[in-house]
Amino acid sequence: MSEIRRIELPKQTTVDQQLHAAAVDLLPAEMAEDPLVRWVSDYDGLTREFHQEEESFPAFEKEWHGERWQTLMFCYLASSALQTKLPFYFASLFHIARIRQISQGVLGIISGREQTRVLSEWASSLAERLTGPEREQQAAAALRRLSEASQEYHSRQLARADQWWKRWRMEVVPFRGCVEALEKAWGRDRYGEARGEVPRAVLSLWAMSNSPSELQMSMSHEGVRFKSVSLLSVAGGCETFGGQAWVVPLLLAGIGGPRWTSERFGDELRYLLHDWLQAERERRIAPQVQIALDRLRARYGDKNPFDEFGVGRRAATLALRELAKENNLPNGRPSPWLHEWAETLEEMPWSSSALPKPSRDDESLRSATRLADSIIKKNVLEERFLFTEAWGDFVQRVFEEKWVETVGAMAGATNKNASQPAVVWTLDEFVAFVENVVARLNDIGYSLGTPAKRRLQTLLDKTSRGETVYGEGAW
Amino acid sequence: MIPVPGLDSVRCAWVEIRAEGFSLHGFLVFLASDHYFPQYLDGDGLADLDSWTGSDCGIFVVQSPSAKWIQYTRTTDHTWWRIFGHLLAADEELEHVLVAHGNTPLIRVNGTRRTLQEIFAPCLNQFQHSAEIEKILHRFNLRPTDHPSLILFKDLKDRSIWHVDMSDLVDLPERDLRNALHRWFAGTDFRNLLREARNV
Repeated sequence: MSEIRRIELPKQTTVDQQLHAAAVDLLPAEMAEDPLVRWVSDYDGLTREFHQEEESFPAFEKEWHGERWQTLMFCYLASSALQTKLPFYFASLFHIARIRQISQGVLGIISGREQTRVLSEWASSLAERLTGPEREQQAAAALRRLSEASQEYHSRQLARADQWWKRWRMEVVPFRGCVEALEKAWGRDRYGEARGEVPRAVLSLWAMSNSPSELQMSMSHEGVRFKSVSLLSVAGGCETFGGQAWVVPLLLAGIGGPRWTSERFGDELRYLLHDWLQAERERRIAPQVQIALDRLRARYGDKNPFDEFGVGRRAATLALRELAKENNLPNGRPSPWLHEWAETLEEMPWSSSALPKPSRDDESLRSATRLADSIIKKNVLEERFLFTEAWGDFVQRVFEEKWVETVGAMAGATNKNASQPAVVWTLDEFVAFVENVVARLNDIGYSLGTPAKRRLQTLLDKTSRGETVYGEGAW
Repeated sequence: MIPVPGLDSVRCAWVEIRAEGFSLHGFLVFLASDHYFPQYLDGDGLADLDSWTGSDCGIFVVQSPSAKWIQYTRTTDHTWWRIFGHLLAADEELEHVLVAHGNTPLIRVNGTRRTLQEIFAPCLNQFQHSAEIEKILHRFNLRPTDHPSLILFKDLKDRSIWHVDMSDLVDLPERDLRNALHRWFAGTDFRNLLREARNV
């Protein structure tokens, strides 16, 4: 071993900063550049102790005159709430990144274009260690089986990492929203303008921090647990404050102040109770959610059953509606499979938006078809299916109410505000557009019909005059 | 010795160890191919180093089997067996190959010799991945080849580190590696370093 060298760190940085930067370096570029990742990894409240000079919660500035104990209380509660969840999101982020990097690395080595040549070279190296006349064949067979099993395993690992990454983002977004709401409330409350918002924001943050994490449950199912937060403490919430009961009176006391009124007290109490009950419900239902997730995972494996109903791929059927119902979890949220698929659906623009006429090429018609397919699929899952209605009639109704009507409103708005004749939708143009989209939809399995021309005329005429057309029989 | 599963965990673990009041901290950096560091630390190494560093020095070791922050609850917690367990159940020949040669560095990949395990089933929290090590060394103003090594500092807020190169210990049999490390931690260099850390 050589002598000890003293080495200055680059650009006067500290060990802490370099460790942090090196840790973030470990993340793939797509993750490292994500603002949510930066928010989680930059949040340094964990390593600060409460008594240090720096504030333990960045949003809280120096206490103002006469309310020091409230400041300290909210600092403590908010920091405690953050420490319940942030360590998990920090640790799980790197775990997901590792899975990706390891599996991508392995697949890069064993499944490249020159796989056959590489395996043959490796087999020669392995054969040197074996004995017997068939050691070359034995080595080649062993490596082939190892390679196949490894490719299958690491492909599954990558799919799992992608699913977890999406879930991670889904959970961190509202969490960050709670923190930002608290920071805003505190900023306003400095001047006494938002009395009551701070304790409510703290309680929302607490409720969010103690809601069960589906990501954590999913990771736990795969045997991955993180030391800092146990499932029970996440589900229970009691451990954060040493018991639930005393939180409410403290927060209610915090609501008070110079501008306290009895009416506001009632409102605040209602909001607090609502958030509290919601968190409690989440906690109690967490085991049922886990059972449902386990059952779905056993049924689907690594495939997403919604893939065949991807946008533009296949028409919505009764099977899709039943599949969606199966994927509604006991807590009212969609399963990861349903959520992932729903995220791929296009969103309908506002009916007051202008509607440019489609171009002559195929692209705009394809986009319109994708949107129509997305809208039908979204709404056949949500709309009430009348028990005397055939599936085909239901889909036609959804198509007309949710797509044709909105497109008609957009075309009418364009006509009403048109500054030049070229952008005005004529009846023939509107009918042709709807017919073309219907034809494209029927190509992927729908059995739709174009609404009668006189109905489309009524729709376009009314919307061009600025009239509303919602409700049965309106057009 | 403070085993952690990855560099990201060092900062989280720091919250714990700061309360211990160590004068000197650091971490041991090595690749999986820096034989026989991984093998030694998998065995008695952690306990040895824990004893030799004493109560005034806390060194992080990134080591998967004793990870405090990520625990695998499966009975066979090794990726190796998770992938290939189903194959081995039906194939005695393959099982023999893996048991006898699975952890021998005999396959050349990108210029370095790796074991079958490292190629097909690297440990999930394998901090010793070469690309990760390179980033760490770069951040601490070290060369990409400065491994294995010991990086030491007094506090996270320090602007410099102490670096001890251990590359001459690679490929030493475990017994010799142990003796070399023992000599260093018992020697004047480490004692002087501790004294300097206490006095800063």
